[in-house]
Amino acid sequence: MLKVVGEDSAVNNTAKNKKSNFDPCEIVTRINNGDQSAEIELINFYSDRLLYILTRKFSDLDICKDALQDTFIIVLNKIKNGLINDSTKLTAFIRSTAINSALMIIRKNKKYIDASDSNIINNLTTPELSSSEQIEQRQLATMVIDVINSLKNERDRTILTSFYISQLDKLQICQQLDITPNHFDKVIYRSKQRLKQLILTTNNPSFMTSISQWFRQQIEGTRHE
Amino acid sequence: MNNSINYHSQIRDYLLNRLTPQQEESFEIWLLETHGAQEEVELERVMLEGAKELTDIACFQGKKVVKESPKKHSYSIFLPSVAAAAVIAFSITLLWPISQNISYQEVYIEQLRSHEPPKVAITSKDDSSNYQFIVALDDMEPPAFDVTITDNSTKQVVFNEIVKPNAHDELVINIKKSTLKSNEYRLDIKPLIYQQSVSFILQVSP
Repeated sequence: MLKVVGEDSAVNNTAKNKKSNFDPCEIVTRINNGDQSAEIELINFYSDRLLYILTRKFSDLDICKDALQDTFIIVLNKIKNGLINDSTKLTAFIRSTAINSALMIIRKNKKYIDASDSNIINNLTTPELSSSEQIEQRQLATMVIDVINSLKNERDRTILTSFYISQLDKLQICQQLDITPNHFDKVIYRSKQRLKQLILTTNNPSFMTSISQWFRQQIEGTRHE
Repeated sequence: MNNSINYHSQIRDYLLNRLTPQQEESFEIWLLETHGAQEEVELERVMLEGAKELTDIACFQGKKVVKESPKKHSYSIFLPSVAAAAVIAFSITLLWPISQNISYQEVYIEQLRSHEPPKVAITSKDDSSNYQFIVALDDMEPPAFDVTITDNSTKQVVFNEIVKPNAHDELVINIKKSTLKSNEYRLDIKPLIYQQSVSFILQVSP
């Protein structure tokens, strides 16, 4: 049985992987040649983002984590057995394996759920926000207001509110405000940088649960530097 | 620059579930293979969720959220501080049964130009348990307003909520009559994205 590296190990290697160039073809070759460090590289490279994609599709975090484990077991077995014919499509294979694994786990779980208990089934897909989560969502709103207010130009603020609150598309906003797409992109880019800065410097512990695991890692990284 | 630019424009559509299955697959493969992509996606998600929360707060307060278009070349004014107003305020003893047990006495507040915060005389005229202040806005751009009512004598805040304008460019503020005892109050309406605010004095009598 293959053993998949623990979640914490994967997290600790995130920074290292950011600096390396990941080449799926090379990794497949190295794994085929029995290089165990290549297996860890593969897991570290994909695990965070794969978990992110899974959690967008399936609300139960435990199911997503189990699917992630199963995925790497399946993928590494396939590589070792020479069953990956086109290594340029490795990422696509990993993605589809992860989604299928999650679906399999959900199907298995549902066998043990009384079909008449629709509440349990609904909770697998539509979790309701707790009151503390609602408060945290409000903090997100406050952060967005801070970002909007940080723009000095009133027209830039209008761009941001039109895009995110009125949810107009870029072309529509550019036409109506008579601005270039380049200016639009600059405003959005500046806003995102400001938002990132706000998130990474947040000292509000309750806000931490309303942002993703990924951002929490970034914040922790910033504090340790 | 590479094909990342194309995918950046898809981040929003991905988060709003607007991609076809094929586009979604292609996007997720890009996300899996690209360093820095997750940061882009996360920042966009936080912006969208925060903005949605702003809208939801307003919806929760009973206001219909309108998708507004920006007015061309009209990004200047919300309510200029120099253009304060005299007020025509008229109370209408109209009960608006939002639910079976909640009734409102509507109080319309309109703005005319003046230098001082306009005074609005408010008298309870029926058995309803709530006031519903309806403030007409003009040149309205902001998506939401921070509305505060302060007791003028004690300086205590008796009401503070985020309110979004309705389809008629009005702010509708619901408050229990028991909260506003006979006294003088200051109503401050601060746009969340602009700095200027507008104020009124509410003179409440029994």
